[in-house]
Amino acid sequence: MKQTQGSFFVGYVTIKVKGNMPELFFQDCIHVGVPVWNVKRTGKNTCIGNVNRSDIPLIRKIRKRKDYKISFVHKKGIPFILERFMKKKHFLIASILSLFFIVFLSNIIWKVEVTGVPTDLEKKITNQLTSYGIHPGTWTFTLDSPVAIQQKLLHDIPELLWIGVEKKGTTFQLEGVEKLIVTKEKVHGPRHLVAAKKGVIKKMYVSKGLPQVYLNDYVEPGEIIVSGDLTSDEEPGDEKRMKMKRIHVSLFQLKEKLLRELGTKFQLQSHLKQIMNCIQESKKINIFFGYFLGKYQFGTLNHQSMRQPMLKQLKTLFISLNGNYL
Amino acid sequence: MKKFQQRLRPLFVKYFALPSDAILELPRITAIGQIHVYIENHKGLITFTDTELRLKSTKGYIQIKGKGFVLKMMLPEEILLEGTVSEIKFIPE
Repeated sequence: MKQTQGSFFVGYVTIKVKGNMPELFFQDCIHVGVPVWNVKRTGKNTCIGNVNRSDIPLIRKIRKRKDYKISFVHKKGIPFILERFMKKKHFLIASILSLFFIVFLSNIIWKVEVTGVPTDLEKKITNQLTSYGIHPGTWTFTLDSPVAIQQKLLHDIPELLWIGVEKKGTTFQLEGVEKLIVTKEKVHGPRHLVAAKKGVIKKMYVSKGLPQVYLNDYVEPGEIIVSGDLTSDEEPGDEKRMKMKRIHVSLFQLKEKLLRELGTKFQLQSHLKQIMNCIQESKKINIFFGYFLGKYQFGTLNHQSMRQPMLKQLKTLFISLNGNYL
Repeated sequence: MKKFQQRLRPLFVKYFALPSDAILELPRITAIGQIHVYIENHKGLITFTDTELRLKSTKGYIQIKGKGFVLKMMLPEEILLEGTVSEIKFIPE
C-alpha cells in the first residue's frame, strides 16, 4: 500500500480502459513500473483503475502500442483542485482582494482612546496626538513606537505626570495621570515652634525667637517652645515669660557693661568671671551666645564705624573665653 | 544446465533451511479469511473479472474464484485482491 500513499497530494486519475481483455492493459502498466490500484471490472470489455497523475504520459505511451481506448473518469487530488481553482479567475481575484483588504484595514488606526484625565486635558492630548499624526484613519506603518510617543507626549504636555501608550490592534489606548500643580501657600507673619508631641527638653539652641521653655521642661503637644513673636512678651500672669524677661534683662545689662569696658579698656579676667557666673546662672550657654551675638550684630549698635572694631574685640573675647573655660 | 539447477534448489532449501518461496521462485499466497488474498512472486496476470482472477506462476496457473473482486493494488510481481474469496486453485501447466 506504500505506493498508493500520498497519492491524494500528488493527484491521481481514474482511467477507464475499453477493449478486448482490458485487464492486460494494467498488466502492461505494472510491467513498465506504473503502480495501479483499485482495479475493477465494470463490464465485459471495460475496466477501471487508478494511476498517479505523474504516470499519465507513460500510460499514453503504452496505449500507442496497444489497441485500447482510454478515458479519464475522474481526477482527484490537490493538483487538480488547484487547477480548477485557478481556472475560476473571478474567484481567485476575489480571494486575493479580500486578503488584501484584511491586511489593509487591520493596519489602520480606528480609534484613539484617552482615559484617566479630565476632558480639557484629554482634548489637549488628542490635539497633540493629531499633530504627531495619530488620529483615526492613519496607517500604522507611519507611526512611531508607543514608547517614543509616550516620551513625546510627556515632553510636550507638562500637565501630564505619566501617560501609558498602548497599541491594541487597531486602537490606541492612552491612560494618563494628571500632574497636580500645587502652589505652596506663603506664610506671613511670625511663626512659633510648637511641640508636635509630648516630651522633655534635653538640649536647646535658639538662633532667632524667644524660647518659652527651659531645659528639662515637660511639654505637651501644641505647646509653644520657641515664640516667633518677639514683641508680645509682656503678657501678665505668665510666670515663665517673666523668668525669661529677667534673664534677658540681666544679659542686656551685662552686655552694656561689656561694651562700656570694651570702649575704654577691659580687664578680661574679672569680667570673665562675671560672665561665667551669669552663664551658669542662666544654664543656657547656647541661648546665651546666640542671643548675644544676634543682638549684637543686628540690634543695638547701628553705627557702622563703631560696630566693626567692637565686633572684632568681642569675638576675640569669646574665642579666648571658649579656650579657657569651656 | 537449467535442469541441474532445478534439481539442486530443493536440496539447498532442505539442507540450508532457506525460504522456499524465494529459492524455488514459487508464488507466496497470503489469505486473510475470505476477504483478502495477497499474491507475491507471480509471473503475470492472465484474466481478471468480477468473479475470477487467474495468474501465471513458474509452474502453471493460480486461479482464484469468488465475487466482487477488486485489485486493491498492483505492483510488478505483487497483487492484492479484495472481495469474497471462495476458492484458490493451482492449475498445473
